[in-house]
Amino acid sequence: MTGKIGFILGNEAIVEGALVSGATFFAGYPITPSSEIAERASRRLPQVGGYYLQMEDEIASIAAIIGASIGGAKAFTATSGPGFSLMQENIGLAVMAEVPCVIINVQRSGPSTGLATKPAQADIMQARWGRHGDHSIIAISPSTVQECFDLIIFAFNVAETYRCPVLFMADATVGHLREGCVLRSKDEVEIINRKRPPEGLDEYYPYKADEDLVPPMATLGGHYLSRFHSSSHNEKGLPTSSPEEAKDLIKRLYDKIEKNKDKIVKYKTFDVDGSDYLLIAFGGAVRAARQAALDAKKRGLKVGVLQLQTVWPFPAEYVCELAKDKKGVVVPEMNMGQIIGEVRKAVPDAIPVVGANRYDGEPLAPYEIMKALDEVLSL
Amino acid sequence: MKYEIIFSGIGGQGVILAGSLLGEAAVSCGLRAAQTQAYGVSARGGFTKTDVIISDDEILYPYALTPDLIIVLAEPALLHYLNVSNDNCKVIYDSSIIDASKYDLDKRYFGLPIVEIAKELGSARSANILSLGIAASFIVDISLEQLDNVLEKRFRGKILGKNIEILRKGIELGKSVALTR
Repeated sequence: MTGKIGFILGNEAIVEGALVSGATFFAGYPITPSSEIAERASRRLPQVGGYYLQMEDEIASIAAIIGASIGGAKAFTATSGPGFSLMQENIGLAVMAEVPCVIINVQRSGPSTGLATKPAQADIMQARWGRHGDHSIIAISPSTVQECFDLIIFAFNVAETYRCPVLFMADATVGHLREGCVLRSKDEVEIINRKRPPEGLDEYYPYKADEDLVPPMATLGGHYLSRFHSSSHNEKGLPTSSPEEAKDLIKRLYDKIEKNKDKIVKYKTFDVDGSDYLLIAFGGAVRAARQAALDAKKRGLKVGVLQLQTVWPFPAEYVCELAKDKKGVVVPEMNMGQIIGEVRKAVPDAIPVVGANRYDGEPLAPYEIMKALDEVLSL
Repeated sequence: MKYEIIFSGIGGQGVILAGSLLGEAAVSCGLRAAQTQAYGVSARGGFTKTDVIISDDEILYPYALTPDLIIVLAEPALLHYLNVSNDNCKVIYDSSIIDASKYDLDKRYFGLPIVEIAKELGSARSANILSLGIAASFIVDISLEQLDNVLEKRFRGKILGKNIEILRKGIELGKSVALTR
């Protein structure tokens, strides 16, 4: 498949990218609009010596990929809103036990079973706060089929680098979109594998972090005794109720992501230099935003677009830097307004921030963003 | 160069397949293509459509905003496209299954007995491939060779031969409609 151009679905590109990343294990419970991921994974994984497991539900699916990762595999699952809700508890386990894995949510309209075949981006705050407890999380969102391929590789890389679950927040407009996609080979992309403990240690402490705040991860059943713990634990992986140890652990889990933000945050800008207005979008809404910016240009307006490829951790400092000299900001989202809250927190109060929102199951259109832009112009 | 084409009908007619084959042929010809789809929760029946955008430049918004051509294979889909904004759009509906006399259609709307013709050529289920041919005839930059290639990748045996024949009939029909512009 080297460098081959395929005319494929975003969902299919996700699987091909995962395979290039070295993923060998998928467990899932197919659900619209993510089903093509399970379908293709079931066909492709056995071809590369990997495993596809059809599970009884999403709780079992996330549990299985956590187990596979502990056993040494790069593992992933795919779902949509209802399944994503079911997975939250075990995503918390992966955060606490520091288990790298990738969870794909091809978002659809909710709440509950909602509009099963229709797109939304309304799980983006759930991605941030779906688990209980203080923690940071990484969420990545593609806007093209090519990005489904390229960014899933990035998602595996950051999961492996920071020993954490990574949420891949696609949506039905991108998952069910077919476009030309260059299917790069392993030699053409950077692949990162988890840090292993050095051989010959007298004793291996599974949660003793290096300077980068990430502990090397031994495979269960390998040379070293390894522990994976969901309760507060010390460096040895033994349970603890010491306030100091509990605090150090929570702080380290948070800092290993937040202090490495510069390496985790990926974004793209379009015509932002010298622009008067800024559109900030992620995922499928980026396509409408870029078209709206082009339409605005024809009206003589200077409008730039910031695409957040990494949504969490949110790049508040960068958003502030970019927005501070603008006359206004519009945040297009296929929800009632979720990321707009983060944007409002980030930009100076004097700059108007207006949402362009759609939550009826239909994709956000450029003219709706233009309407929001007109609202900013009238302020 | 930019074309916005919609194939529409009800679930089970293969309209989404027609759209993906057109997009694939376009990409094989070195063009850019984006194909989106919308369907309901049931596997068969219910309004279904696919938008195919074909361009020689980057495609930003992947949905049709000012469609050039809409192919309609079922009445629920026609209801959806009774008020098309683009004055230059052609709407081709299947007159063998849709009684359009109750609608006040302007000169942008053309009836063609699509299913009937496909049936005469030996495969009523290939109405989607006939539609593919009609649509392809509107896009000069797509070659017949690449269209045949995508059909060969998708179908085998007797049905492949039938579809290659039906594709050609579609192109011929499309050209006759284009002449009436």
